[in-house]
Amino acid sequence: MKRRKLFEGAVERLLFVCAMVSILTIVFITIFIFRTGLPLFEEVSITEFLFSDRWRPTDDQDPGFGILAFIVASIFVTIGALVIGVPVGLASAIHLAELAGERSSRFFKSVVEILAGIPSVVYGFFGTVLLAPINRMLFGGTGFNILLASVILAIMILPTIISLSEVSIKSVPKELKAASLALGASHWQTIVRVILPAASSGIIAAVILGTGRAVGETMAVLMVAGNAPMMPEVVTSMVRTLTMSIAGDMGYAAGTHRTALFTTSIVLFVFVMALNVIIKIITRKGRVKA
Amino acid sequence: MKQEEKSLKNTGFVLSPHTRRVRLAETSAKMALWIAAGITMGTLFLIVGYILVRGFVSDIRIQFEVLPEGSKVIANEGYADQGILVIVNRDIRLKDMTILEVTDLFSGELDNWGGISEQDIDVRVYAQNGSIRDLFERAVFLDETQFSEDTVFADSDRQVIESVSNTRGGIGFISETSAEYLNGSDAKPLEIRRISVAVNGEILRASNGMRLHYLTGEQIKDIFIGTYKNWSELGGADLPILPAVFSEDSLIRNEFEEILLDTDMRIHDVAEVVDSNDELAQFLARNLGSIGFAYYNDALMYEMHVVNIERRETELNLDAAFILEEPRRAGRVGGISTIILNTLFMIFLTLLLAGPIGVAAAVYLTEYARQNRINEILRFGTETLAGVPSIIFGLFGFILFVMYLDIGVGLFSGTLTITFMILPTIIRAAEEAIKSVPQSMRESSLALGATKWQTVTRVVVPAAIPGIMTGLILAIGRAVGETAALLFTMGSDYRLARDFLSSARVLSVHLYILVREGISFERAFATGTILIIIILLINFATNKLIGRMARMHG
Amino acid sequence: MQTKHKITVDKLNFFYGDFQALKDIDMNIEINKITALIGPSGCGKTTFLKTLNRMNDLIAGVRINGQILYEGIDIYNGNCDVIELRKKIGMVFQKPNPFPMSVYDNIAYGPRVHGIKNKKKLDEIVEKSIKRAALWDEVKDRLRKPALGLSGGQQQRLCIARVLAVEPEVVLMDEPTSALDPISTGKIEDLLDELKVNYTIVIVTHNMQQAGRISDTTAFFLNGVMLEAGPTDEIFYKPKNKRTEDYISGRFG
Repeated sequence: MKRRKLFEGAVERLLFVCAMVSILTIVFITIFIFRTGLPLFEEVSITEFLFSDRWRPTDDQDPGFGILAFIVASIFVTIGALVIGVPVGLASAIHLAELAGERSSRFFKSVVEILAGIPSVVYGFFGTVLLAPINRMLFGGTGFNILLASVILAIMILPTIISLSEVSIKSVPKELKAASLALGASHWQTIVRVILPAASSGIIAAVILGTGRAVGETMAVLMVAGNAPMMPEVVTSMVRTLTMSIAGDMGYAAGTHRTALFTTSIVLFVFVMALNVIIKIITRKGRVKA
Repeated sequence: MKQEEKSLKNTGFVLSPHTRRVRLAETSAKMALWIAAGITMGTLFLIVGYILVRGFVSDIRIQFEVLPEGSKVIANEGYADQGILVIVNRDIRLKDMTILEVTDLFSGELDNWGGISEQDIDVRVYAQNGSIRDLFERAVFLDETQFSEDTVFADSDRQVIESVSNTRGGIGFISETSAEYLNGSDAKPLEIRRISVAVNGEILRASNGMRLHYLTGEQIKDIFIGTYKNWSELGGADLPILPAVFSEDSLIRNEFEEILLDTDMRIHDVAEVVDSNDELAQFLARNLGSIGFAYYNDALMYEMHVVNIERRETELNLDAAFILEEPRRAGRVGGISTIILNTLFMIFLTLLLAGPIGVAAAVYLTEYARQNRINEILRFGTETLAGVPSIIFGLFGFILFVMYLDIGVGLFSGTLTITFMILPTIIRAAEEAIKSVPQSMRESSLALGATKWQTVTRVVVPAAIPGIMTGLILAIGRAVGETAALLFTMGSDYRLARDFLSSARVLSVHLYILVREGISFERAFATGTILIIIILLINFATNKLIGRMARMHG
Repeated sequence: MQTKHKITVDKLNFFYGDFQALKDIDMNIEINKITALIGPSGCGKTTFLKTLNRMNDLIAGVRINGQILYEGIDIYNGNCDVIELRKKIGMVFQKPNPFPMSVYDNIAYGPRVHGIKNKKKLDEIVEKSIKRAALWDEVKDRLRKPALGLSGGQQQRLCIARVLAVEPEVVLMDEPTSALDPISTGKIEDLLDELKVNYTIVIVTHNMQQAGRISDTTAFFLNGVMLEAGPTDEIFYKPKNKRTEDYISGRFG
């Protein structure tokens, strides 16, 4: 009897350790990144790092470690992705939840699932072989620019936006829809005036989640955004995002350069984590409301 | 009566103007929704379809300096019955070759078939002495070209056939009279393309924007039968086309007609007839808009302006051979067998590591954890981990495993890194699965006197297997698709991993490198196709599992 | 004598897929009266109610045979616009379902959706409707506050006011008081008595006593068939059908 109790206790503790792995990893990652990245500020001021666009890490005489160009690039590319992806995604979600029949809804959902599973390198490849030449033809230049990156990212965040929005829309109580229709509102009026507002917290969470994915995406943008470490000027500018600068230089960077990459990843990390926290807050609020 | 009529009119259910507008708005809005859904679906089909099609079938156009087709027999003018056949071992995946390639192979310029047939096989040259050697040299070699040093000289056609049959990369030549001996041997004759098309120099030069870059076989045929009369019809300058041909009984003329023309076609009467290469060269030089044909070597010798001819090659891209062959020469040549194996290794190791930990964590969270602070933190940890961008995992893995713990770039570091990335996926799915096991099952087990651990391992987890497997499969999907993190931690060596510490390239990394370095787009498509097929399989499997779960809990 | 019947139901048959929920219903709904539909669970009374304002259209796979005439016009005819129909025939549901908006916005929802934008007009309509639903005193100082903050009974009266704001001629009610406490129930029953002066009311109720208290006409449903319909007094005290009598006296259901 006692032996069994000991055994069970040991088992529980072992399982507990396994459960701890996640939180430990997060803590570790945070510590490592901050520890490796913060020392940069002994050499470079925070202002220069965040607000200068002079990125010359390998210049021995006068190195520059300003990542403003990358920050702006990440922002532009993400906004572009949202501008294209949110309308299409939200509309698709509404269609799924309110318009589609049983069969076509299942089919559509499979399509969305497959889109979600395609690796980012394949998206980047697709952008390179099919869309870049078209972009080149229409707008000149190399074809690898903010526009192409935004389009590809938009496609990549569609599944996130669609599936979460659809869930939110479907979880609006059916009685509200019935009440609205019984009052003589049309289906569309019901969607716009009752359903969407009721699902708003979920939809916003979906969009923010999509934003997080877009900001954190590496491979696809690495392949299609052009990789010029300069401030973007137009939609056809070639750019380098935060993720690209980390991934691109990691292989060969040394010394302060490498430290700067870690500091860059701190910026990325903080931003993405902030988005996740916002999502938490919104979804908790939404749930309480219901 | 009037009042009653009025009330009837009021309830006519006729559309009021406002309702009409509302209906219109609804119809347009719904149309927009359908379009959006169509865009989403269309995008998927476009991406998957495009990559799959180009993955399975490669359709490329290459330009050569010779006609797209040739003939098996190489003959010299005046030696009509002493034609030569070029034979190769049947393992070589070719149907034809250009005369330039024949020259390079026999002279030793090319010592590996990779450049021609994309097979990493060494070339073994078998030649013969005697009169046939003279004929061969005359037809194939230009001026000073010699047989390669490694050429093995045989005494008879039969010997050459035997040697070529027995040697994987063997190539040789025999007289056409011995063709019958090829039956049943492992040697086959190749079509040799050696006729070039030459034009007057002006046509190739840029003049007022109209410059000819290349022609297709179809166009050449149409030129010589007279369908085209002016170069402007082909995108060139405004010059009349002046074709020149050799006389009707010449070998080259016959070969030309056989290759290009259908049986009922004839060369245009207006064509100028020349009797020698010299005459042809002069005709071309003097007449604007002229075009003629000659053997490639002769065209070179007489300094004629050879025009590029585009050939379209459609063939299977992703096939069994691709999957089973090893990549060579940085992936330019060969298949991706080792890379597939490396990927499988990674999957296996990852499952070994992440599976138990993930399931154990899920078990703890659902079965043992109480609603207290610590466990909220644990849960928070899992959710947060899921939101971390993959590049940061790559960095973390790089710094911790590769550098700090000095495990170096290889399978182990990569697997550890990926494990942390996919842990949340597994935990989430396992949690769901375990949660949905009916409480009654647990209660009956405990009521029978089983301990908690026994209940968990013998009742709960087995019941949750489909859900857990779904999570594992999805996690594998993520792992297979991951590129950035693996590039830094698992490496890019495309050879088969020898041990846990070997650098190993996986499919996603391979695709990236092929594209970034511009090594081979056809292979990139094939790799992309394999990745997509894996995703489709994963999707299929998880749907089946979810279907089974629904039925179980039905 | 056509105008005395607001709605005429003629040989109505209703199917959910293969299952026939209503069989050969013939019925007349009189204007400005309260008609109660009673019967045991699953007998089809709610299904029947929902055919009157075509709320069943929302369900896939339903089929309908027969006619329902609203003042002589077939409402299932292709020419009949459902939106216009529902302006005339409103519905109050079993569980109060106010929108997650303010009291004001809830009431104003109907008129807004029908194109009324003028703020003054909306204010008028809102006040009028809430007063008609006997709720004004309780909410007049909290019009802009969330409707979900009201009690159950208040919410249901809000839903009634919401329907009235659209100015229907008929109000359908699906067990409107079954989720409420007795006091709220009483308030609503009193309200119905006032409303019938201006509206025609059809009410499904599980509660026989309620039917007996408030309705003028009662129809008894059993297994998709309307066994008997007539003046409430007759149905309750001199039912013609034995099963009606059994139900009334509580022998089943």
